[in-house]
Amino acid sequence: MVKLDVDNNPQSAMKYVIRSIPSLLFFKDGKPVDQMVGVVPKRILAEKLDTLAAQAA
Amino acid sequence: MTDQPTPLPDGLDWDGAERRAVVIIGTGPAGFTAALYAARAGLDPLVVQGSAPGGQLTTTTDVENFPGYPDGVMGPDLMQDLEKQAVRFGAELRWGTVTHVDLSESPHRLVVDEATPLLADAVIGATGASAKYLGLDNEKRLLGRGVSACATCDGAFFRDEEIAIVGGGDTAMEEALFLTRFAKTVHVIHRRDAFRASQIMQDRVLQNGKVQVHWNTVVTDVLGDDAVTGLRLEDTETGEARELPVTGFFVAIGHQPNTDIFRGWLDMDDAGYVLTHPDSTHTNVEGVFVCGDAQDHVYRQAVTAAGTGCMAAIDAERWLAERDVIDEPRTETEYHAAPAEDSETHRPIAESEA
Repeated sequence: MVKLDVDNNPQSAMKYVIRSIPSLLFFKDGKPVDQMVGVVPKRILAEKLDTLAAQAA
Repeated sequence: MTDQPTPLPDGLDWDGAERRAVVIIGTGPAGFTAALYAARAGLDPLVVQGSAPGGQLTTTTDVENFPGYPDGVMGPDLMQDLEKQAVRFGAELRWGTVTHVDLSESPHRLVVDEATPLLADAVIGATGASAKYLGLDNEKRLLGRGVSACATCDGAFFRDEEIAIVGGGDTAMEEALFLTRFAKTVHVIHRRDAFRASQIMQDRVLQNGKVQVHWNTVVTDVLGDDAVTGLRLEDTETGEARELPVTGFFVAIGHQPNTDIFRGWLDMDDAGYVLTHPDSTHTNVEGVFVCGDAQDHVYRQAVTAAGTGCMAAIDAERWLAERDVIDEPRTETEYHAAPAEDSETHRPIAESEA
C-alpha cells in the first residue's frame, strides 16, 4: 500500500490522470488495473479486492 | 420515487445491539451542534459521522458569515472546531454511515454500514444535503474522472485546461470564479439567457477574462472513455447540437437533501426535505428530530443549521425527560410556555404582578 500526496507529487497525479481525491488505484505488474474515486465503504472495498485477486489468480 | 421504507438487512443481532439515549446522524454544523448540546446535557450522545464527515463546509474555502470569526475561517477548520467542542463535552464520534432505519417502535432501530445494529431512544437526523447532478449516465460513469460537483476539491487538477461548469446561481458563480485560478478557460453553461445569481456575483463572472458564457445551452451528454474529453451541448432556442472539448466538467445546479434513509418513515415535501412541526424539530415520528439542511430548503446556512441542531438536542432532551428515559431536562431554558404577557402591550408581565 502506497499513499501519495497529490500536492507534493503533481507529476504522478498528472501521469495517472487524477481528477479527484481520494483516488484509489490498483496496480498489477506495475500497471494500474482498476480505480476507485471517493470515500468507499469497507464492504465495497473488500468486494473489489476479492474480484481483482480472483482475476489475478 | 417510492414511499416504501427500505427493509432492514436480515440476521442482525438486535438483542445484543448497543442502545443509546441519543444517536445523532451526521456531522455538519447541525450534527455537531446537536452533539454539543446533548453532550452538555449529559445524554452521552453517539454521533455517526456519515460518508462525508464534517459535511458540506469541508469542501469550501473561506467562510465569512459564521458569527464569531471576524476574520473569516476556513470551512474545514470551522468543522474541526465544532467537532472538538462537541467531543470536549463527551460526544462520542463513530466512523460509519447509517444505511437503514426502522422507526416503527421505540427504541428506534438503526443500522450502521449495513451491518451493525444500533438502538436509539431519540434519533437526531442531521444528514444534510449534497450536490445535485444532471442525471446523465455518462456523467455518473465519469464522476471523479473529470466530472465533479466540487470546484474547491478538484479545481486544482485542471491547471491550464479547458473546463466547463453548468449552473446559474450564486454557487455556480462562486465556483466558476474559483476555477479561473487554475483553468485556461472556464465555460459557463446556462440553460437560460440570464443568471439568477446575485448581481455582484454575476458581474464578477461576466467581467472575468477567463470566463466564456454559453447562454440558452444545455448539456446533453458527457464524452470520454476513461476521462472527460468533452461535452455535447444543445442550443435551447435553435435545437442545434455541438461539441465542446473540455477535460473537466463541474456541476453546480443546486443541492438535494440526504434523506433517502428516512423515506417511508418521515413526512417529506416533494423535494425530499423532511417536514418538521412548526417552530420545532419534531417530525411525524415520536422521538425522531431532524435539523439542518435535511429539513431546511429556505435558509441553508451553517449558522441556521447550527441553530436547528441546538433545537433538536433540546427537543430530544425534553422528549426523553417526558418519557422518563432521563430524569429531567438539563439545559436551562424555558420549555413549556413563553412568559406571560400583557394581551395589549405584549410586554412580559413580571411574576409579582401575574
